This record gives sequence, structure tokens and C-alpha cells, in this order.
Amino acid sequence: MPNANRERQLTEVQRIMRKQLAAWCNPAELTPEEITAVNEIIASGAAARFEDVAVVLNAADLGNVLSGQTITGESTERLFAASVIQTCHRRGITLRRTGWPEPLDGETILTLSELVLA
Amino acid sequence: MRWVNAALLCWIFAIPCSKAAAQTPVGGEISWTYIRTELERDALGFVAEVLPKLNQASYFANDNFAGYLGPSVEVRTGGDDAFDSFVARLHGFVLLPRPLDEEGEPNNFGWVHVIPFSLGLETDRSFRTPIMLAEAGWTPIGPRGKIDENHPERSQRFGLAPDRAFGLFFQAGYKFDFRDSSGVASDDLTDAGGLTNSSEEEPDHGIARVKGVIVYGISLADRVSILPRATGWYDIVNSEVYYRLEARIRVNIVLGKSALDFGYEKGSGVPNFNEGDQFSTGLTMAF
Repeated sequence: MPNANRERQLTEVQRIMRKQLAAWCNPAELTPEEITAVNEIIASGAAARFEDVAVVLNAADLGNVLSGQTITGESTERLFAASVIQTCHRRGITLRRTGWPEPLDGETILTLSELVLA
Repeated sequence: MRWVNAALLCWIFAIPCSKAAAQTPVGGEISWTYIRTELERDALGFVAEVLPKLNQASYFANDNFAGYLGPSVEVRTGGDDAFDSFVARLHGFVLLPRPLDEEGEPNNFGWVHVIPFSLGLETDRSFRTPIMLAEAGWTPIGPRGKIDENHPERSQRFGLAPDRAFGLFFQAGYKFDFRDSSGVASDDLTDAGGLTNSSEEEPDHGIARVKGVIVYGISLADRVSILPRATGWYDIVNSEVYYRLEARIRVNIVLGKSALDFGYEKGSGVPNFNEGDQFSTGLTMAF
């Protein structure tokens, strides 16, 4: 049963990551397929649950699509991570607060969700 | 304090080189520039923003707020009288509460208000004018609209795009009175070109400033970007206004990795608030 619970939590973390990726990504770094998937989520957050959207965004290189920063130099990767942690917290899922890979080069939603789920 | 600078620069260079093959524990940007200084001298400039990645960074979140806390170091220096500064700080941000979407989750697709904060040290390369400074501000991030499939680069959110951003900050701290080995006080240095201290902020006194930053540039086909950036400070204690204007033309060699920069600066900014001019040509590499 614990394994089944972890699988459910991982699936939920991945959905939340897809949604937050759509919010914080750098459009200039997206492939045409990723743009279509992100636009679906922008139209409705529920699209982050769609299988075709999941297939595309789960494989995206997060370090690439989350490139960018605020005027004070805060990276969009950190805005993404903070948003994911908070949304998971509201869903009752605990993620690690430290030790996230920096940068997220080479990380995908699938690998990152495994890394940060406490 | 020259040895401090030398050691610092060695540390900055040593870490990325020695660990290059493994997972690098730092990231950031290093620039080398050829500079024409205020005293019409040729100088080599150096800027490094170093972001340690030794897992000191930490996130925090509750139902309403989310944020980040971590260290950073920024060094700007050069030969002769080139503008210089050293800023080391503990910094972070808080995402203010956002309305909930249809799934009961914070809606990050609308305006997001980020409150950046920091506590740190700012000084020049000789550590003559160390200032312990706390800062808090407001940087808005615009809504995420539908991405234009034909020109996705134009769909980046305001505040995250490198050429469109705004920030407003309040700074408060204390300026220490460090004298150099010759006994010359920090404010006694005059006619030193880019090293001239034009700040009205008195050593051994508290300081308080309001700071505003705005960037609004244009990009040409991903290869060339023109980035004007204006920073202004209002010195509340002395009722003085300082400014720093930068105009940079960047030609990307490898997008996001290396670029050629041609720059003009009017005013040095913190901590000396020198009002001189500086021209530069340089190479920037992300690591």
C-alpha cells in the first residue's frame, strides 16, 4: 500500500509540475509541440491532466524551458520550484525544501519528481 | 585589503574550473571587458555574479506564501580607475498570495507579485566604504498569455523577459568608517576617476534609500539585443538623488551561453555613486 500511495503522489506532483511549467516557462525555448501543450494548459489548468500534454511536457528539459530571471536575478527555476512546493503543500504532499538540483539542466518532470518527493 | 580581492578572484575562478567535470557547485556569469575609463585610461574590467549551489539554498511555503532563501556574491572590478563594487548577500523572495484557480490551487498565470529581500555587504575593491545593507522590494511579473506559435520569444512574461522588467526597493543599513593603510579616509579620495566617491552618505552613520530599476529593451531576431537599464536611488537621509544608466548592445554568439557586449555606463552606482562615464567591450560566458 505505501508504494501505491507514493505512485499516486508522484502522479500528482508531475501534474502540478506540468501546470507550473506552463506558468513559468520561457516561450522562446519551447518546441512547437511544447507550445501546443503549454497553450492547452493556459486555456485550462485541467489540461495538465491530459495524457497527450503529459507525454510532451514530462520529457521537456526543465533547465532549458525554465531559463530566465527576474530583475533581481532570481531564476525562473526557483519561482517554479517555490510554486510547485506550495501547491503540493496545499494538496497535502510534502516535497524537499533543500537540495533541489541547480540548475535543472537535463532534469525532466519525471526525474525531478522522483528526486524531490520527500 | 588587496589580498582579499586576489583571494576572492582565485576562489571564483578555481571553483568552476576544478569542478567542471563534475556537477558544478556554483553557477552565474563572468564577463571580461575592455574599458575606457573616466580618466581616459584603458583598463580590463571584470564582472562576476556567483551563485553558490552547495545546497545552502532553501525553499519555504505555506498555504498562502512561497519563497526562497540563498546566498550570492557579485564582484565588479577592473584596472586603473574602472568602476568597481563588491556585493555579498543572503537573498531570497516571497511570492505574495495569489487567487485560487478552478482546481483550488494558487493561480500563477495572472499577475504575480514578488517581494525580493536581501541582507548583505556592499563595498568597493579596497573595502574603504563597507555598508551593511538590508533591502526589500517589489517586482511585478505580468500575466501569462497564450503563446504566439510564430513568435514565441515575444510571449515572455513582463518581469521575466530580459528586456522588460521593473523593481522598486527600500534599503536601510549602516556605513562603516574604514581607513586605508595611509590613514586616508574613504571620502578623502578625489580626482580618482572612476574610483571617486561621490556619495553624500557619511561613514559611521545610518543610511536609508529608495531604489528604482527599470529595463526596457528590444531584440532583433534573437541575435542582437539592445538593453537600456536605468537605476535610481533617493538618499532619504541626505535628500540626494543618484543614478546609474547602462546601455548595452549584446550580440549572441551561442544563445544563452556566450555573447559579445558593447556597453556604455553613466554613473557607477553603489557604493561610490560616481557620476563618470565608462565605455566597454567584452565577452560574457554563462557557466
